[in-house]
Amino acid sequence: MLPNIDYRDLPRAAQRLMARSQNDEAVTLPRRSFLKLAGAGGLALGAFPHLVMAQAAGQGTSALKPTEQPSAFVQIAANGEVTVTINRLEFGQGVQTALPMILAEELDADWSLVRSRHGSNDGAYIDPRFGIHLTGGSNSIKNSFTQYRELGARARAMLLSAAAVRWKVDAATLRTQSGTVLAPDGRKLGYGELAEAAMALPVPEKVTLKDPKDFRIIGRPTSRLDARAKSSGQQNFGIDVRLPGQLTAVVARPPVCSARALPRWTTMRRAPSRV
Amino acid sequence: MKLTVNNREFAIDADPAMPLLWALRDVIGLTGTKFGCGAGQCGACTVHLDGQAIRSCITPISEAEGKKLTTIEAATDGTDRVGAAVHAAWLKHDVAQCGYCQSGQIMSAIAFLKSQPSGKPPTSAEIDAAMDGNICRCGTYARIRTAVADAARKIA
Repeated sequence: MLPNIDYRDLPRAAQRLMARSQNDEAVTLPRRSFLKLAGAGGLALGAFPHLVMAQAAGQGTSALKPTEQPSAFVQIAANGEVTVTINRLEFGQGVQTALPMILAEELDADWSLVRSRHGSNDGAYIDPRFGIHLTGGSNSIKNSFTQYRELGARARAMLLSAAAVRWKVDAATLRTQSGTVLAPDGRKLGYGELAEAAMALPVPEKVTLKDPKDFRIIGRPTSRLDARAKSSGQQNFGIDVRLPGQLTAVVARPPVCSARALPRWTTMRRAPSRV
Repeated sequence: MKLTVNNREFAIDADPAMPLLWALRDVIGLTGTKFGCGAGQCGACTVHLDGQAIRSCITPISEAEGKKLTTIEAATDGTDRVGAAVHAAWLKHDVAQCGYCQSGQIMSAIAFLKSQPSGKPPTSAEIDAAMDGNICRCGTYARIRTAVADAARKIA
């Protein structure tokens, strides 16, 4: 329990999130409040204990929305590279690796070809349980575990269907292995070769998820996908973003406590009046 | 004035008192070096000046005239033996978490290892002392120490 916090001081939306977590109900926020939060950009919460819910063992997650198209989350290039879009901010906690691992498991991807990228503020990337863009409260894996599994499983099913059409066989006779679709007669096609055809197929409503005892990616210590960039100065952070016409604001602070005025040497640059 | 950075010459038109950090990031466009505190306390801005680790946020560009600057981009591009060993160790031990302090950590580590007599790997205490000026809010210190020790063994 966090001490010295009066929860009534928190924004109303955060209060509702906490109340919902105590009821353990997956209730979508009323549309009005969702729009308000969306306007403010994403919401990042600290690790409020009230938001930590017990793992719902064996329960299905709140239903995936039909609008969560696999293409918003996973892109397979012609060369077989699989790019997974994450619906969270990576700030060292590892979701940029963990969420792709979850999807890659059900997709049965070649892990060495998996890349990751951050999602935008598009509605597809909201937390499926809370209904807003959110990274925090130790909720990322818990709330998106089944979501990313189902996305991977759906994409895999579409690849199998595309291969079945191409080979004129029943999809049920086919299997996958680490980024390749295999036919019983030995024919094979890589995901990259099937991707375009697969993404044109309808998204299956129901998918079967793997038995956890068959996991070969999830549960295995895995190097972070952002490790190379972060150890060579290539990783971009907020301070590195340069947009056209971007202004930089700094706080002009007096050098001593309780000063009543800024020192004379401070030069204030005025922003253009239209800003 | 002219700055030599990563073996390239740049003509800089700026106040000689401008900290190197801003010349590197904003004027030249090398953003791998990070701003953390602006007071030489956190180490995120560490670069090499004639091979010595310095804090670029409190070093004016006038100090660098006629000398060679190396930033994280060149130090880990594979052309330097020590830099390559440190980079490889960083990947092997999955050191970075958020990654913001890591450029400075790596630059300090490379300068430290280059200053060590060959054939004598540093002790943990020596590594800790050498890396003392680089702080990490994520707390990946144990892996930093392991990676530096690992790189030291590789180049010994």
